[in-house]
Amino acid sequence: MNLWSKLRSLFSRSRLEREMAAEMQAHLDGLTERNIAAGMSPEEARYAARRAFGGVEQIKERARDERGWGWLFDMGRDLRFAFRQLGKERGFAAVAVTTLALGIGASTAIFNITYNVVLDPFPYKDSRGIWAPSIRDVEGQRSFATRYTDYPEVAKLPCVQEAMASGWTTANATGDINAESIRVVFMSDSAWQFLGMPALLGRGIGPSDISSSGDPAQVCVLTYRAWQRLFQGDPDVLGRTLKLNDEVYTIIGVSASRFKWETHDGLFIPLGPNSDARWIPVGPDAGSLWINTNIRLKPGYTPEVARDQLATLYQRLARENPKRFGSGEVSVQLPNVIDISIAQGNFSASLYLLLGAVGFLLLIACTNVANLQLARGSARRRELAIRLSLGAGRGRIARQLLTESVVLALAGGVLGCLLSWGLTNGIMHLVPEQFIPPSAMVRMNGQVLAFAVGVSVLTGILAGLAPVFQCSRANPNEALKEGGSAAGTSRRQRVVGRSLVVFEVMLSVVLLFGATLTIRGFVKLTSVDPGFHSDHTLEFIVPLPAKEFTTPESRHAIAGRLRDSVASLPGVTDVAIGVTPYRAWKTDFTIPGVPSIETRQAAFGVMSANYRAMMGIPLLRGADLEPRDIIGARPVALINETLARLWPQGEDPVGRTMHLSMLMPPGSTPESPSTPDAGIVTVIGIMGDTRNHDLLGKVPPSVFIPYTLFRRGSPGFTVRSRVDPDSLFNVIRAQMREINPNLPLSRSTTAAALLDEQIKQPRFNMTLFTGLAALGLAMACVGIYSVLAYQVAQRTREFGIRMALGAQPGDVLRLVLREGGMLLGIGLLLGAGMVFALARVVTSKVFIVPLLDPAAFVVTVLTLGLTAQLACWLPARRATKVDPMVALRSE
Amino acid sequence: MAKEKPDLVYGTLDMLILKAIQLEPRHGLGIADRIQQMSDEVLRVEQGSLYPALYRLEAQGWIKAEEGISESNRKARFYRLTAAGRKQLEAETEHWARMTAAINQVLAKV
Repeated sequence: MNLWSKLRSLFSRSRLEREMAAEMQAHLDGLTERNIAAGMSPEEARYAARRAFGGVEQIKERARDERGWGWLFDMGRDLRFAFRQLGKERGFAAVAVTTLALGIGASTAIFNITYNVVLDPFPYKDSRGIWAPSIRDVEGQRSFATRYTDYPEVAKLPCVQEAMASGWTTANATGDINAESIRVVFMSDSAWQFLGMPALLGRGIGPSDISSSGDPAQVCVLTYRAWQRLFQGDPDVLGRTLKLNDEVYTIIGVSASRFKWETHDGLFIPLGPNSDARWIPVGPDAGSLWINTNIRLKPGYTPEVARDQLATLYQRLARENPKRFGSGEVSVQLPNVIDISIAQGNFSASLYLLLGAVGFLLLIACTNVANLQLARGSARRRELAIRLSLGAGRGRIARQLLTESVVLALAGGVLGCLLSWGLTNGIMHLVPEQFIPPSAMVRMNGQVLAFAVGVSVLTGILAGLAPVFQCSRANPNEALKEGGSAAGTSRRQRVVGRSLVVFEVMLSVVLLFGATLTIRGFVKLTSVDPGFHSDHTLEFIVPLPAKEFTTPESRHAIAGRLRDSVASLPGVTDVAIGVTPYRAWKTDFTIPGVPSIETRQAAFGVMSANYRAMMGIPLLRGADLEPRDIIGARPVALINETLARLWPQGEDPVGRTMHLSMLMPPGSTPESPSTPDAGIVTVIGIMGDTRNHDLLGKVPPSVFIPYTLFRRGSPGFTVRSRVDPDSLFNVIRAQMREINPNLPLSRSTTAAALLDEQIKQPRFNMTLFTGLAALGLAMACVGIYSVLAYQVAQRTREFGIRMALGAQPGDVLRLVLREGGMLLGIGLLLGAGMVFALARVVTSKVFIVPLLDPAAFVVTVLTLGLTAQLACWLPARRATKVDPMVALRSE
Repeated sequence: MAKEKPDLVYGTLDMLILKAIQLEPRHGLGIADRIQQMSDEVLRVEQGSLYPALYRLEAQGWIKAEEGISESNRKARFYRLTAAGRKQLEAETEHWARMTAAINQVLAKV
């Protein structure tokens, strides 16, 4: 291609136009002269030449298209024309741009959140390339702990390009700071390199932090938040120290603010071969740190191949060390690190569904704009017909109509982007925090912007298709003859307009239905009785420093002291040791004489004698815990109804024994107990079921024992108060410090907040779906209204004649309402069909109630039917106001 | 609009234009005349196709327009074959010969 001539033609357009006109004129003159020479009169000769030559303007137009970047000129001209045209019709432009802005804004906001939270939440180098092996049993259910010693083996696999290892624990941080329990993340020497994010201050952990003998240096890197919280963002923090479990650590760096590997507000320390020995104290919790290895693959290796290599490795490890992996059979899963972020699962499912919903909303917006353009198009038929007869190609006109539509959509896009900024912030306030990966940052970026532009252009083209289709079939001859207004619209156009309305109604049925489902689900959840008092209830755990409180007896003693001192605080009604089963441990259990039970895991809680009564959990049978059970640490237990039902029919569990593995001393198994009665408790009473896992599913079995019987762990407390429980916590904190200033404090939570966690996501779904459905419904109503209003306006003369011939206003009203009702009916039917079709495809737990919920159907039909009838009624009433005389004269 | 008469085999116009100016530069009317004359009045070029084709060939760099004076003493745009155009003409002629020979062969078979 000759670029130069194209470029030249781009800049010397008017000269080329002149040349082209002159050339064709010369051609015509030549033909004319020839005709004169053949004996025609000059007049005749000119006409004959013109006839022979054909339409000059058409030929010019085609010639322009051939000349290089003709389309570029055309586009510029189309753009200018589109702006002029839209400037003339401000009302139309405003409605269309607003509609599109709402659609584009909503979809950009949802996409923004989906992209930055689910698809690309991590700031690390090539996070899509990080794979996280997980070692499971053969069924893939239970996951086994991995250790530091696995890391060099994994790193040596042929498929592994690079690897890093990390794990975490909590430690008591003291020193020149307020004592607190802090998350400590172990990072292998390769981790900083692997994640590819330089530290904000100082340096990250590197190979120099592990000695040749395998000892990790006593240095640490603070997260950005720990730096702000503990050291108030001191720029000279490097070289300062803090104590972790009484060992002094020197601060060597502060990580970048989005660097939140395994912690968002803790700190990082080096991980080496001897970390286990240093961090896992001998005693009840002895063992190895749980260390995860993450890998990047060498080019050419697929995740499947890598998984096979890992499986081979771990099968060998399982053979060498059968104790580590239970039965000895292992399988390996190799998910991408993004696919196991906390946003995955239910939350990403909601977001994907919401993306679908905004897609529907966008389609409704498109349909509305298409309808508006159709109505406008018929007013422009004469203009288009004139242009066609003056030599415009149909393709050219179609292109110009599309340009107009895309200009509208881009204007909508710009407005939509502004709107989406506000919307995104609003939606982020509603998003349950526990689903957002800490390092995720929701903001407008290149990808989101590209999405907005792409969606705008696509919307423009979609919304422009109907008018283009209509114009491409218009016959200029008829359009000109028709003369304008009165002849009414063609049958075809009415059909297109009506189909668009039906389509809109159908889409909004689906949106409304989804919204109704989320509302039903939310109502269902909030009406669940948790089975315990959740108001004015505060709970917190006191992680006791292992060095200070070495014996179970000392732990139980301090727990009792703390309880008494908190009970004396003003505003406190009662205090018990024990926390809601939401935060309980899990224990394996067996019932002697009952061989096979489905669930062999139960929620396991410890309590003081007053916990059950204080929380309002009913005692169904048997006896309650007595203070003497606590003082004597007697091996007794209260169980819930679900657990009681696991005993064979007709047998009363009260007075029977069961075995709890949580109570086993370390190193002893049920098969070879260290003492004959290790782990055996006697059931003394049966309590009512409480919600202890989620609000809807089956209640898992649970068992509670006197807190003095459990020799591990740190005590949890529950406080009932007369005052706002959150404000009470600061007083409790102060009280604890007085008793022992070295006690770190965990965060407190109220029982109400725990339950609220459960309904946060349903609430989020409900709010967003309802918002989108309301928007969709409003748009669909505007669509129905505008089509009917337009048709009423077009049929003014017809109504005038009908009324002149004796039709009553009621007849005309019915006529229009029937038309609207028909469109509505068909739309509702098709929408219901679509809901059924989608219900087969969408297998999501996002909707808590069954997908084909009959009540939701009724609500949807009623809402849509009533609202849409109103939209029909307004134009219908206008039709009855037609004065026959005026209507007939309006020609 | 009446449909164009299929006077020209589809796709051959470009080749014929190149051929018509092979020996000397011509203006638009001259090219149309030349093709008509060379084909013994069988092939008639519609102006509606001629000018778009001329601009297309110019954009491709196969022909070049220059100012000239027509036989009737008017200023006119004369189209001249460029080196690339000459090569293109050869290629198309060769291709055409091959195609027609093949088609004739097919038609000659009983």
